[in-house]
Amino acid sequence: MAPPPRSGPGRGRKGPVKGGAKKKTFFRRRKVCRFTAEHIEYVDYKDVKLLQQYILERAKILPRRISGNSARHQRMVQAAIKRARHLALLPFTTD
Amino acid sequence: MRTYELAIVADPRLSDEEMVALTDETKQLITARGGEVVREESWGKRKLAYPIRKLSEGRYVFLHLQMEPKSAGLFPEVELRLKQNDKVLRFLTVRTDLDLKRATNRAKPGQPVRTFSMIDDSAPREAVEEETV
Repeated sequence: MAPPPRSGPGRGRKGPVKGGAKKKTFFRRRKVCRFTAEHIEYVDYKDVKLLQQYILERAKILPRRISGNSARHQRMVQAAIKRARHLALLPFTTD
Repeated sequence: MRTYELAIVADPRLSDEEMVALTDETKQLITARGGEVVREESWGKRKLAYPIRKLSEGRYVFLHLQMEPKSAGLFPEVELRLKQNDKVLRFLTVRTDLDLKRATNRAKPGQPVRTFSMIDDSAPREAVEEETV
């Protein structure tokens, strides 16, 4: 699974926690919607190679909380994957 | 003007001629009812992601269509024919003009509409956007 790009605005709530001396500090990279970053406005169901990056091993659709996709783009990806599945371009599941 | 995409997955055992015959037949049905086939995209034989009717391959064709709204009534007929044709494993019609229009509106002025395929240049699938919006 391809991780979202490292670039993008790094500001926001999920930075390292400063100051808290005893508390463990978590470094959580801020997730960025790849489609927003790249100004992608249309997701095509024929782009199998790219859609494959948005399905998990068992061919489930990669959830938004992992991929960081914006809601709008996640919907586009979701629709594209479902169309591709119908045409047997992508699997429904793997056994 | 509306644009559509009609994808057909056909039996891999068809010969090239039979495949042409099948697409021509479909195209005729469309043009006879006022549709226009703008572009045809053939992927040839391709492995299916899962078996359909115990077949593991399919022949893929994509027809890019254009028509006035009143001609859209041809789809029930075309789809019925495809459904009844046992050489056709799967088909899918998608209306694309609305999505493309939205995409064009959102794109930065003066810049082409960026589609999914443009994310990564290591995967150069042909860009599938028509400027017919």
